[in-house]
Amino acid sequence: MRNSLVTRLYTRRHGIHVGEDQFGNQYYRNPNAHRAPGLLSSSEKRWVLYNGAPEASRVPPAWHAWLHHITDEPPADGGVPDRKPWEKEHAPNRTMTAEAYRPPGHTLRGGKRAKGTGDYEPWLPS
Amino acid sequence: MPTLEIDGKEVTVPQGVNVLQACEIAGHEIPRFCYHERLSIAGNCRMCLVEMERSPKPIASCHMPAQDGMKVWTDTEMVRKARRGVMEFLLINHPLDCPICDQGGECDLQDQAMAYGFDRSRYEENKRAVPEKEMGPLIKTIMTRCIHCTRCIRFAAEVAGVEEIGAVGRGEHMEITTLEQAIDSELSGNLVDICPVGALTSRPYAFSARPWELRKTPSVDVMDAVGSNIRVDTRGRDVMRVLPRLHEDVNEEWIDDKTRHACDGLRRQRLDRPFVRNKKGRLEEATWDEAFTAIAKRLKGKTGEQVGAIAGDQCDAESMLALRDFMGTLGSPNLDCRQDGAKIGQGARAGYLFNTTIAGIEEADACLLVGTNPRREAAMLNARLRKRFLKGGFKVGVVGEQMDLTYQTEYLGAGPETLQQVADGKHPFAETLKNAEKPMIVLGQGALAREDGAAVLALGRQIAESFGMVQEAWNGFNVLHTAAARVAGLDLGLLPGTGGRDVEGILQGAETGEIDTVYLLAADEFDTSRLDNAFVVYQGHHGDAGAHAADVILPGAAYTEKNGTYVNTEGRVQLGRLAGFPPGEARDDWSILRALSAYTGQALPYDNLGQVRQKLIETADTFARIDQLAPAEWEAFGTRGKLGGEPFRSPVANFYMTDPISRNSETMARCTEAFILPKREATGTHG
Amino acid sequence: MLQDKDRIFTNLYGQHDWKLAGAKRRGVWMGAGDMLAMGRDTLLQKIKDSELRGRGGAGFPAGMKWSFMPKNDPRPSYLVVNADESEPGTCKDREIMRYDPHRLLEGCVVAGFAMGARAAYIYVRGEFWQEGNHLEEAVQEAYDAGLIGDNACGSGYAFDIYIHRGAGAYICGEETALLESLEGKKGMPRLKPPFPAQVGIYGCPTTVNNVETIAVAPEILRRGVDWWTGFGRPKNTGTKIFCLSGHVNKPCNVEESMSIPLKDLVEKHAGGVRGGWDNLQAVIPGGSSVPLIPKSVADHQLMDFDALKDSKTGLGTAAVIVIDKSADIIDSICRIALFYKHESCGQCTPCREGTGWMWRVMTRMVQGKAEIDEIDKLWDVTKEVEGHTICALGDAAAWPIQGLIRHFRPELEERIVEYKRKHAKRATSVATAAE
Repeated sequence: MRNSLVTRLYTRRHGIHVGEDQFGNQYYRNPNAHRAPGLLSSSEKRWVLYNGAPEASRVPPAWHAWLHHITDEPPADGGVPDRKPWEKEHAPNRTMTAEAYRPPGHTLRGGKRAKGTGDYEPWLPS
Repeated sequence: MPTLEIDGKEVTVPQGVNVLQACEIAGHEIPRFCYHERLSIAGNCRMCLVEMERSPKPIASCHMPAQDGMKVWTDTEMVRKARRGVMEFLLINHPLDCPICDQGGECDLQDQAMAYGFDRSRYEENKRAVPEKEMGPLIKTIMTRCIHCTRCIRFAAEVAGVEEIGAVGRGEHMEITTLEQAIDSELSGNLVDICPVGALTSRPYAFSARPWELRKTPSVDVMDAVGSNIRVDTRGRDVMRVLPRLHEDVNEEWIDDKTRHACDGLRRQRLDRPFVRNKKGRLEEATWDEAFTAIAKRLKGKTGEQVGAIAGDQCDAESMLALRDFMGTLGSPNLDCRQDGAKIGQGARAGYLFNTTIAGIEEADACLLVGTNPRREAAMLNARLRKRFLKGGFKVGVVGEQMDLTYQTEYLGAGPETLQQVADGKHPFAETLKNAEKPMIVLGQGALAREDGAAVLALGRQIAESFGMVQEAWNGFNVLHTAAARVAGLDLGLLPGTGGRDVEGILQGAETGEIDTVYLLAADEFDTSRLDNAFVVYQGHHGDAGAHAADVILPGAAYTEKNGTYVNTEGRVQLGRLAGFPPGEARDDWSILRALSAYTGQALPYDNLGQVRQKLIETADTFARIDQLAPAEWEAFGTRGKLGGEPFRSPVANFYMTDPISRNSETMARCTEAFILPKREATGTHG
Repeated sequence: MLQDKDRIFTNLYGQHDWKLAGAKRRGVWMGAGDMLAMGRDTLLQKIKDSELRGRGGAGFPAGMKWSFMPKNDPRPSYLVVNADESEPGTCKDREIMRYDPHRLLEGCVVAGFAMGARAAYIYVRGEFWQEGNHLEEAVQEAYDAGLIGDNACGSGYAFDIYIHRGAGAYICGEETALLESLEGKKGMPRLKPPFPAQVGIYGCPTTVNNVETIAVAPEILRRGVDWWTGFGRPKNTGTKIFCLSGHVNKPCNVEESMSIPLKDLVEKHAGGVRGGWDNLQAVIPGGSSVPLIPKSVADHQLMDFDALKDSKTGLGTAAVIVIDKSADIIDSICRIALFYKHESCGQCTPCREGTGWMWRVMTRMVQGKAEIDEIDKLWDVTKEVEGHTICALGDAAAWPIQGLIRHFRPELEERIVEYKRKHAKRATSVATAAE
């Protein structure tokens, strides 16, 4: 899957390149886009061209803030505080992959469910 | 009968009540923390303040006796201000623990703060914190929450009789403590009910449920023969906890620790499917059909004399009736409900009941305890004896073991010789009995479950008659049972028929081979290894000694899982209710016997609970009177004979483990570890 | 001004022999037998007529209190003398006990007889080592001389006196807490009713009275009721030992007539306020439990029960604590609040929690680290404690703070404003430094 044709065309015509993140996704903005009046977000349009298949959770947190108009300055210009040493690497949604989350008691996770009301220890002959 | 005016309305109240009770009679609820009807008055929470005429300050209504002509107001500005003030003071140092506090949802402080308190806090200083105290395996203490109402101190000192809780420190630094020792009382679980906040909570129940998600079922306890009224709280099928239910004449508002905390044994070692022993000698899972077929096959062609049945200690009357009828269809007279071998039951009903009634103890003025330790065998009865003792003028004599009953007793002797001396009038205690107006004698199973049990019973009868214990409106002759099923079994006639064998006889017969099949209805309290040669059918709810010895196991229901009728040691018929369904394949006990009877040829004549109960009433009409006591006729019972020489010994060695449920309970194991074992090691009598 | 001939406590300063011989020379035990011969009812009536009021702080009429004792009760009655003098500022009972113990013992016999008591227990504060010793020796002397015992003063009345020591708790000065402590239990006050006259020590009828009250009783009977009522205003009769302490030039105990003007008392007997009367800031007239009065009230204050009650304070134990302008009045009241927090027994909720709360707020008020409306909040808290407790310690904790707020509110507010100003200034100065 690639970014859609229309997106790529629009980017070529109107997109101003803002920066790139550690995964290779490119970020663009268009200050001349018309947005509804009265919105509190900035007046420009912001979007991302993914490096690979478009999937929203692949955007790292710092760029996510800029992309959603939470911050004014993009991370490239210092709009987002630095990463702390204890932060993990960003990972996209793991659904449908091998590392998908399985709740406790799932058959693929051992199969032993948590203790519930009504559980009892049956007597079995030794 | 003073008449006083409360909030403008006149009300007449009984003599001796205080203003708080008078206001409640008039319909006005007064908030309180430290006041409790069954404890002495402390008057230190100051929440019950009401306005009284001619008094510039509000008065503590829990303490002021109601007198003629008083004028009391419970809802004026002064009263509201006082309540708000006291509530504010209680909350300034109370931690914000509601989300993690077990008492949330049933907390007096929460309820009264909502109803009478102020809606915000003005306190801006630091709150105090108090270290947690050690009070034993049953009570979890978070003393920061304590509001120093001193109910626990008064309960332990007055009702439980152990003065192990006190307050140290003065002023702000006052802390309720036991000085780091466990509270060694069988009534210690009631402290959790008594504490109005979450300072003393139930350790086994900690963090497991909230009161609004529990379904509360009124029922009756079967851990001992007192028949304490309980309320079983379940979440789904699971019994989360057992709380007391009010019954003035039996257990008042208390229950003992075994009743309260043995319920976690209902989750362990449960029989939930039928088993049949295969040719290799191993127990194998089976269906009901296979199990019944196996039993029917074994019983085919056997005469009645070759079959025996023993009923256990916690059976309900319906299942015992079904067992009796079943044995009737097999033509077998070898039936006994007295698995401890007590020599009682033949003769008048008064010969095996607690005739004085538990409430009647409060009128006695002398008591002779023979071969019984009421503190271990029937803790609620002991509490009642203590209550009588505290009123003064109650002499208690003990024949049997030396024991600490929480009240003063006179040790008369160890065995039957002492009893004979009292009967002959040679013992000084005989004087006490003669001078008493309402004397009573209590014979325990320690005196009756022996070779000479019938003779002891007859001697007890003689003492009762010669010391004037049997009067018009007073019968001081009592037998204290240890098993909840005993009186019901005796009432239904679960005794050997003509030519029938009793328990000892059945066991001997099983050893020699004369008894081929033995049916155990949840009976585990004897040496089951003696049944090795017989074909044993065990119908019960826990995998205890009986299940190990069985050839066919039929899973039955425990007391919280069936609608059963139980008769306590006074002869009071009470109904236990189903609080949660039995696990797995287990069924109601009487219905198992009914189903089995269809396989063995003669089906029992009832198909639903109503018909069973009808048959119960037809068999013994005491079952028609639920929760009522009719005095038993004083007729003949007991057989005179030679008395043995061994001293009387109480049958209950470990209070916490006396039946399959409590033996499988983790909480009871911890209690045994904390209370019983250290004493045994101290005295050197291990095991 | 009281003349020396009218003084009762002639050995208040310990200049004479305190033992039996010296006491007899000063007139103690004189005519004690005759007094007993007057009979119970006459004695009671005389004490009632004298309008003697309790000297321990509450000021309850003694004659009325003694008449509550039962006349025909199978249980023995007891007199308990409250010698647990712990009220801050009070030091009169100790002088009576160590320098005039026989006066107290004579009072016990006479008062005990008047109320039909079988014995007297004198509960002495644990810290009073010498006082207790003197009392014990005096009791032994009295027994040896036959003044107490099976035939007290030859009247045929059997009367015993026992000395018991306390262990250092202010709360044991409260009458029911004292009875609890005497019985060997924790000194926590009992609920009233039933009053000690119905159920007292060991469940028997008991009257608890202060040392001074009991000690003056024989003298009233000896010199006559009219002599006694000659001092002081009606219902505030007789003489009183005032304990003058604080910022006076000569702190002392002095026995004076009741209803004496405060200014006279301080200037004539204590050498006046340090720095002159105009240097006076406030006076606590009756021990730390009563509210203070500012100079404006002290200027024309009479020292008796009713006059001080009209000034919204009380005579208490007549321990006059004089505070001049050099003292921080807020800090003084804060220290008093700490005393009550420390001495609270912890039984009832308002006192146990309230005294701590009040002290903590007061410590912040000393610095001014509060808001203006917290003064009203503090007043409200004292009103919530007052009257809602089992014993009077709650009231005693609340009153000093009420007195402070009533008379010195401008001081409190000024302190708060000052603190705000100081700390606001510091904040702006930091900001300017950063730039």
